[in-house]
Amino acid sequence: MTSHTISDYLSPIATLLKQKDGPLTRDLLREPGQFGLGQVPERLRPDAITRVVCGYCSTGCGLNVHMRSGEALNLSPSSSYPVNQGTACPKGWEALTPLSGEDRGVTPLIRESGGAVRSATWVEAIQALVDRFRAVSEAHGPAAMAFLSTGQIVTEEMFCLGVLAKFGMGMVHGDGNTRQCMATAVAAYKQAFGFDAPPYTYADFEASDVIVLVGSNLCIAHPIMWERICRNRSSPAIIVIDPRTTETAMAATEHLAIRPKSDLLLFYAVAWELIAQKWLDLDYLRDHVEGFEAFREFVKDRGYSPEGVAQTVGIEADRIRALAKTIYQGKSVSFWWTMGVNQGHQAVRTAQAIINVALMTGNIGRPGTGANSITGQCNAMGSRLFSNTTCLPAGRDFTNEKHRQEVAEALGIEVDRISDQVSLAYDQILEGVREGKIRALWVIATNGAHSWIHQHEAKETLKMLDVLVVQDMYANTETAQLADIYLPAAGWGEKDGTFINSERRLGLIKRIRKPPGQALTDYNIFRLVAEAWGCGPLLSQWPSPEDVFQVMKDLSRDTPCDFSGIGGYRDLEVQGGIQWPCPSSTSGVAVDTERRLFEDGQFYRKNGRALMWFDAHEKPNEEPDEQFPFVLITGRGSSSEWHTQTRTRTSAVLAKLHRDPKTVDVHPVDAARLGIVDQMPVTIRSRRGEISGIASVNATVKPGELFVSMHGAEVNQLTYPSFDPWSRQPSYKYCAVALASEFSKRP
Amino acid sequence: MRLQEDQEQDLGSLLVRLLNAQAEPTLVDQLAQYQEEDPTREGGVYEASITALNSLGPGKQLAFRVDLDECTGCKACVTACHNLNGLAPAETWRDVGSVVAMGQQTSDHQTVTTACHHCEEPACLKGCPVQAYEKDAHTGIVKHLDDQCIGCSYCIWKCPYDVPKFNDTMGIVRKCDMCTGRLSAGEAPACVQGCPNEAISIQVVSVGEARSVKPLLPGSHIGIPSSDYTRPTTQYVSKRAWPAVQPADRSKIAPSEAHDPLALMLVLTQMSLGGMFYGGLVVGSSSSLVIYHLLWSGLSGGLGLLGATLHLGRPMYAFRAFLGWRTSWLSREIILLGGYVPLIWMTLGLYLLGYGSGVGHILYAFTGLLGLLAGWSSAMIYVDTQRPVWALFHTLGRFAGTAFGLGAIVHGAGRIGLLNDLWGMFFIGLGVVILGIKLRGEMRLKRLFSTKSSPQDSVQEALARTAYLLQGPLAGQFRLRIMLGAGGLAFSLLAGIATVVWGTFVGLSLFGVAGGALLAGEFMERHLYFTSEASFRMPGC
Repeated sequence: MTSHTISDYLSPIATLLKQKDGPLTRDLLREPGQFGLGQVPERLRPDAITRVVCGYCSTGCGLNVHMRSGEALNLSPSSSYPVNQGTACPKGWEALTPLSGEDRGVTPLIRESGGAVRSATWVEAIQALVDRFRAVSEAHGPAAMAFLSTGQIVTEEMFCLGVLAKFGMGMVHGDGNTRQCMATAVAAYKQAFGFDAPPYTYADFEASDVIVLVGSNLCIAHPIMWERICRNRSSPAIIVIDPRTTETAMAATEHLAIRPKSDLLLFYAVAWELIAQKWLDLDYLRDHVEGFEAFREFVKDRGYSPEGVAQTVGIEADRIRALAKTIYQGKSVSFWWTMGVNQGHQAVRTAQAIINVALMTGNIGRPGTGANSITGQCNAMGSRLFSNTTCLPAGRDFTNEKHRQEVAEALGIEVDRISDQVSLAYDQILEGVREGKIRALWVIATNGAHSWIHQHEAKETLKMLDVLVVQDMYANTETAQLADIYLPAAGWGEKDGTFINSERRLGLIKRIRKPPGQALTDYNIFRLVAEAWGCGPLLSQWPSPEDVFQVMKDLSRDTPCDFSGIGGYRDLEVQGGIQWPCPSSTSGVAVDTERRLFEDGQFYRKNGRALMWFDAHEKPNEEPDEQFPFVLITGRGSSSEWHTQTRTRTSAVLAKLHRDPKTVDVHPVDAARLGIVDQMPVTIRSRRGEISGIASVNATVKPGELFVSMHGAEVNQLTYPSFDPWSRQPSYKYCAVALASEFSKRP
Repeated sequence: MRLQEDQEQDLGSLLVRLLNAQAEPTLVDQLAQYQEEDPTREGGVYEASITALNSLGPGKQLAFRVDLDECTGCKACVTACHNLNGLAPAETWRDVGSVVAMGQQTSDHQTVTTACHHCEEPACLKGCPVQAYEKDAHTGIVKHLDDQCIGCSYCIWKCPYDVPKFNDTMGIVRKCDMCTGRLSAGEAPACVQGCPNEAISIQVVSVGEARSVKPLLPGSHIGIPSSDYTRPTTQYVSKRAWPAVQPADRSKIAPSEAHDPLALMLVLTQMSLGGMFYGGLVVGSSSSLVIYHLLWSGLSGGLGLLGATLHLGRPMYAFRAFLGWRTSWLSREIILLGGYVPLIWMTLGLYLLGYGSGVGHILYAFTGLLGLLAGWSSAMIYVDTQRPVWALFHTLGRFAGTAFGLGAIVHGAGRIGLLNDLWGMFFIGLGVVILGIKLRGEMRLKRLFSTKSSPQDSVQEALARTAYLLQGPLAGQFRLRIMLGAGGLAFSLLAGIATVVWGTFVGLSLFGVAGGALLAGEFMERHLYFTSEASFRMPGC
């Protein structure tokens, strides 16, 4: 090696020739990060760490934010948080990047009468909002104003919005994007258990010997919950019920590829078989359940036998029988469902069919059991309890006078300021807009112009409003672009507050970055609007989010979701989040980190029993026909995408990991018939729209079925607006479409 | 209805108060004393211990082990690596692709996570002209020396797995080092820490364990790089019975990156050495023609070298390029070209100073020989990447065609212009024939893709993929290349006739046009040589 001999004499030249160290090498230098972090990039070494709950999905992972001089530099998953135990999905790892996205809204915007959009001061924008909403209210009554909220902001903010909108501004109607994801579970639990109460704790994943996943692509949608299944050391049977061969289906021990929207029939047939074989927990049914006899008769009378439903469900009767047998033989069987169930035309009854099977076999209230709805958004559970939309705070009922009285007392307001009307649901609010009944709409942290079913109609509806206010982190979302007034909001990581995760765990988020430009936290925006509306004291009585938390705590007292035993944010910090219930009798500290509901077999209905619900199976409202021969299924494309991509698209790394939203999965048999080859441009048409795509020819879908990711901006141009009658949740997973190669000539 | 002025003032002062309040990290400060992680807890960074390190020894090395049955496509490994290593915003050292079952009945698919395979025979290391790669003698980890790198990107071509990643702002390549520093501190690499399912681990493997016959992924597959070239050490394991699989992105064929400075450099240096070759024919008989050739070759060779330097991310360190000569064809090419071009100018100097005979002839011959070797090295750079469409036949055919085709035309034009020698017509004709054959070859390559037949093996498929690009996404550029080539050839013939009929001036003017078109055509060809390369890497999508 010549360079070595030279280096003995002329080391500077040698270094020039062979440079093993220098500024480029040091760019990647890693050093002990302290705080138990292990090595971190030297450039990004923190002077403190602080733990916050992730702001994407409902798993509610703890993330250690690496801080320097009070600003977040980097993050890594917390290994001491009971939820995720040291891991996170790509969205969590990249949670900081979207905060510094170039397209963040930094100033309020107002649309001039000519249509041009200009920057405005906060005072102007708030004044415009108040003036225009008040004008609508005065001309058409307060019921002409409405709001659409979200599962993405902290509970304290949701609560303030609900109080301001309904008790301050006098709105009657308000709903949230949780309507698109969790409304079904809410309705199903309320009817069956007497309260919206997912009964499980994540440790149940680890304690089951049979795990049934229904319409849930856990590996992609909730990777950290799948991690908990991986930590189940007793090699459980994992049965995935999903029309598609998803990542989760591949990882399962058994996959039942049922026809889309035949899940209700499948569970009725399972119930039929359990009854026929007498594989029932009769003691449990006798002591804790109401309505089993009626359900038994219903299933028998209607002939929901495995043979009877096999053809519609699309799997052999024997496999349905085998599923029933596996459930019967399992010692601890847990059932988990997500959007495949929730987004259907009979979604509530489907969820309740799952609940019924769990009740019949006594699989509830014990470790590793449960009829468990996995929530979607980081704070859907907070919204369900405190958004003041479908229910009054802490699950109270608008139509119940006592409940109204309790709320009025807690808030120090006149009881007649609380309406006894139940709010319209999302679809009914939009219908109200089309009918001219609702004329002013305030949209907070959601993007309905992208995500609402039958997108074209939704967009046209939003354009009909007298005034549309959009409050969001980004001014360029599809919905914000339609706004008359845009309010720039701080995002996750730029404010303090709490989320409630899927297993009812209250977790803490903190301000680890300053909001950009003039962006304000949603809490502060509500404070300003309240002040300008003339009801400032309604919110200013709680000067900080933690003060709001204390009020919510008081409101939860003696309800099923009682968390009055939590002292304050410090308890949440110290204990790694706390699940409700946590009544004051437990005094908050030293409660178990993982607790499930109904261990005593007592449900929240008046008689303490769970109630079985059922209805006859009905066909979807739009079935494939000659003109539109395919069923289009939509769903999660990858773990790195969230909602309408407003945040995740701003991370270059996440963007790399996306599934191309144009990809259309089509079965090889269908592709061959239509002359479509892999990666060929195609068009998909429904009665509502037409979009272009790229064919991915593979057998993960069945013949006659197509799959497109829900994250693409166009797919909801196709979807059919059908709603579950009980939950008003849209049925995103079923509509009739036609597929054609873009090269083929159309008639 | 307007707000009252005092109300507006109130709102303004409230706004200021709220804006100020939200700029303080209150909760973080209040709760500061609780923020300490317990590294010994399960899942902590030390927990995934590397007992493997202790059993390292001669004939052993560290390797990634990927349990495919546990990999469910969450892709957390990619982001864990990205964040814990502080990579640039879009930089990733780990990628996740997938394979899908072939045929209509099987719905199987599997995600495949890939980082550097820390190969037994690292092609990146061998190809690096500046010895910026080292294979650690103890651990077998293939490490990239960032400050040594000149940003030539050759390792990116040499690696069949698309591992080295170019960092635009730094002008260098960077890659996975298996988190060497973490391993030596007893910590798991970032990806291992980041995998929720514990699918990735580090293990010790024996070097040379007949890996050449063992495919990288289990089961039969098409479109996965063969493992016998670099001997990757990553162990992909699965207990499942695998159907025949293919990359999910098998049909997703996109043009590769263009390398126009390199395309320019190749065409110009090849024209240079072609000219030197033909000029050699008249050494001793016509010093003016020799000087003409030396000028041409010196200029085009010089411009070519300049072009090559532009291609580098850190051109100021180009002088290191000789270090890798033992293994790197790129290093050899740079050394040879670096000698060849100045020698042309020296030779020219000798001729101009009147030492044309004797020493000049010898130097001319030596320079020409150096040029030929440089040209050979140029071709071997690409041949050595093992990419089917850059195989010796294709590459040498193109490179030699350009050299001897353009060279002949330069020579012919010189004969006519300087000597009024009608033999010039012969050489122009020769150039036209050579470039014509070459053009025909390129057009034949394009025909290798057909929707009616399917390729029999990976080599055929790689060629078909290139052909697909030329028919589809690159069709416009390819048409331009054909037009320039064919037009230039037609004009050359026209120019020849014009010379005879209307005299040298008209003829040479037309030659100028023809030569410009041919040169542009060759440049276009070389542009497409890079962009239409489409051999298989690790599975994507």
